[in-house]
Amino acid sequence: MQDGMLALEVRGLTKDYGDFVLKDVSFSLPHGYIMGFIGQNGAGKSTTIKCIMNLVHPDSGSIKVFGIDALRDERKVKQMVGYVGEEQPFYDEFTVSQMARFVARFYLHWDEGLFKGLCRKYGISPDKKVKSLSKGTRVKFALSLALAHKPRLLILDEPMSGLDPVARHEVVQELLDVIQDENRSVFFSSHIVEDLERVADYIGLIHQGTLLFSREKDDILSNWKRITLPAELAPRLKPYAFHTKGTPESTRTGHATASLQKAPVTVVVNRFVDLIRDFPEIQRSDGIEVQSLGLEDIMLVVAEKERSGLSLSAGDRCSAPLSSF
Amino acid sequence: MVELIRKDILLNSKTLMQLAAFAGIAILAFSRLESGMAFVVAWSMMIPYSYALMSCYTEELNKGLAFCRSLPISASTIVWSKFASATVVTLASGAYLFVLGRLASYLGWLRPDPSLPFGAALTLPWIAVFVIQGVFLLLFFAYGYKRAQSITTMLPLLFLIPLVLPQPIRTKLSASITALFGGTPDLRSILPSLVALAFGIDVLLTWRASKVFEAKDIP
Repeated sequence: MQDGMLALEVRGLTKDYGDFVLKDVSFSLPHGYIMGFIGQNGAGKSTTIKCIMNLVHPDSGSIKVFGIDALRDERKVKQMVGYVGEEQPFYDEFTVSQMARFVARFYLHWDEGLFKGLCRKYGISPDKKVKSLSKGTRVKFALSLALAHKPRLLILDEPMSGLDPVARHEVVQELLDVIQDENRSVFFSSHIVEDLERVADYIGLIHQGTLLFSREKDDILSNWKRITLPAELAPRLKPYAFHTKGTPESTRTGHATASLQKAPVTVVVNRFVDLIRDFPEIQRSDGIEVQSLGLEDIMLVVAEKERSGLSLSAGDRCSAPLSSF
Repeated sequence: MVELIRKDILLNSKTLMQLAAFAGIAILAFSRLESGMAFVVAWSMMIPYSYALMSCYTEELNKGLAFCRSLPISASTIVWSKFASATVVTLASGAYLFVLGRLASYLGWLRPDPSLPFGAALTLPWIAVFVIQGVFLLLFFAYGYKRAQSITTMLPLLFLIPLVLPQPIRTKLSASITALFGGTPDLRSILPSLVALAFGIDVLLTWRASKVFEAKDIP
């Protein structure tokens, strides 16, 4: 296995549905890492994944899996990819073993022993009809099929969607075992971010068809902070801010009264590391509170900014260098 | 390809068995009627067409096209496998009905038309079957099952057009055909060409279906 090899490389991916546009999505995933792909429902996660799987044909852009063009050498790429979609569309009248036999014929590296072992582990009876499997077991079955041909890249598109909390917990536990194998790269989309936060090395956040960022999770968590501070100090944070809440209008216009200037405002910054490098005193100042943000908080801030009528601009995208803000 | 054909036949085996049983009962029960041969001919059209419908319906019901496209299978292989399995069923059902008809004939129940050999009578409906199957597959891969089914259900009516034409036009048409073949065409001699032509149309339509499906987004 080559060091530094990219398991997945997406460049300038664009798909226009008329009422929804996936805009110029670019990111990459180094081999052996896990990327969580997060965003609200309808943000473009599934469209991106369907483009990678060549189920949807992009208008422009390129997709490479281990350096191979996924659109041109589709079959070769799919030999290396294990895919579990949002739905598990199996032939319901088949038994588990009939379904597996059907799938096995298309893979060069199908490991029947591994498949049977996974079925035993997940409690899936080979003689059961697929239609009689519960939703949770269906996901586990899909995972078994996806893993049995030893894929180098596992793509999971909201596999837990629609599961009840108990089934979801069970599936997450199984997934955690599976995806922590360092010889495998995982691209995992979900709008439930708490599980991704635990396992992902990289995070991509997509919002209304635009990839806002795609970078290391630790980098994101150390840069996205919620800072509560007196309004008079807020302008200093502007170059580092993603969203400001509660700024009195008078402060913005520079005619604030003393009381307004002291009123606290909340600023969400996405360049905190730069901020404390430039203004180290900010962490020691009285009246300034810095809160860490989780991925879910970040998603909420993005949605809140959108709701408050401030459209997300190109400057909000931070897969580009930080200096672009 | 073989695995896809096997999957299609396996998934629809129950329906095929039922159709075969109904055909057997109907042919043996009604072959003594004057129109007994019509039953054999009707079933030689009904079995392959019903199979094509069922096979695509099963695919739609299970979202099988989306599943197959996520596997290392090309879009055109999926389309051609449908064509191949439909052709296999057409030939197999033809052989089955031939045996049934021969049995009924041996028992003295079925009296085939002396002007048209039994094999030719069974092959005749394939002209319609191949064309309709081709149209159906093209519509299925382009627009989905419902639209394909509603349009192709109307197609057999096209074959009735000559019957509803006014008498003078029918006479003229008949005269033109006679002139073209230098006499009344012998169905037995042109039947292989007609079946081959229909099969060729089926192949062309399936090829078009594969191109359409290759370019189609799977929702």
